[in-house]
Amino acid sequence: MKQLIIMKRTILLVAFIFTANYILGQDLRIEVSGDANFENAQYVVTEAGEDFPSSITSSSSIYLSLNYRSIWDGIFGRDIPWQIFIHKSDLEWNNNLDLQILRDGNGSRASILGPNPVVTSGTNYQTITNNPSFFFRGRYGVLNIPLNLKLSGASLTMGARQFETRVVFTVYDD
Amino acid sequence: MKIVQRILVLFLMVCYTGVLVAQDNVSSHKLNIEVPEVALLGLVSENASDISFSASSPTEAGNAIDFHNNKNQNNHIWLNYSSVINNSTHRRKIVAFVQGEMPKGMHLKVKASEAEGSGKGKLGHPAGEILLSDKPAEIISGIGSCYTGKGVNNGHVLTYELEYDQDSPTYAGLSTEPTTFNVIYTLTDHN
Repeated sequence: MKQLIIMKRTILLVAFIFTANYILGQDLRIEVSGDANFENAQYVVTEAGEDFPSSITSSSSIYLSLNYRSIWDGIFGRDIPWQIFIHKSDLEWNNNLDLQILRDGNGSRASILGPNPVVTSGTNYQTITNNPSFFFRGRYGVLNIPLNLKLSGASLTMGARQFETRVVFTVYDD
Repeated sequence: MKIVQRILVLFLMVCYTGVLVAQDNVSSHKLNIEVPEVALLGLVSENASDISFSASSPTEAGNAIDFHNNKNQNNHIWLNYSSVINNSTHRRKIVAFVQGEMPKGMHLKVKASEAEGSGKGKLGHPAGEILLSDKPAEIISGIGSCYTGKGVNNGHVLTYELEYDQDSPTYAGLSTEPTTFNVIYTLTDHN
């Protein structure tokens, strides 16, 4: 009898923990792929006396995906409203540099049979600061949303140096 | 007691998994920006950058020819440069020398002005009036990471002056044959 009570308590506790875990965890997993570095070749001074171009657009895109965690959702899709916040974390930076980003497409659905995702906002360049700010929002899982980066403010006066920052994307329930 | 231990282990495992899962709502992309070294120098002028010096004939018999009318000849040649260095204490300079043979007894001087125009950064300082020869002479020094701006009215304007050594015994060697030579400018590192 005593063992039965302990067993019941154990099952209850495990069920509680799994429920808590489900609530705490996100239903979507965010992933960034691709490479969007600003190559040396773009910093070209063609004539003596010139500065670097006023702004440089990254030669390639990075892609943001919001994958379903659940296999079931991955097959049938699920209406999960989400929003993306963005910020940067500087490793070596100059305050005159202005890094901007925009969403250059809608991506594709993350489920096999589910509806197409809905993605809104983020289609105009916005400056990435060190504080998280809203970027764009949407519903359903989505794969490979193309993002373009633009850099302004680079100048010869900064000297030959390497600048490095980490662009951080965070997904929240909307 | 064993059951309690098992529950505790299970609890810790599930909690640990939960933490791992919860961290997946963040993803990041590292971004590198590399500013390369640059060293570009150019001469610009509204018209051609060629300069012609000519001597005035003496107005009275017995006087020497006069080169003073050539002062400030074509002072619309501008030195533009763009420079990026990787060490903030490192500096560059601009040197000039004559390529070709100058008539004996003639002295060509050049003077660069202070930088003007839309340039920014660690612009160079002119060395004053410099006598040019076939050896490189420093005319601007202390250039760091900077740009002068492009075109006329940007950078350093150059002023040339040609003098003739009146006491030179080579006066006898003067001829009416035109002489052409080049003045070469180089943006180089300080050694």
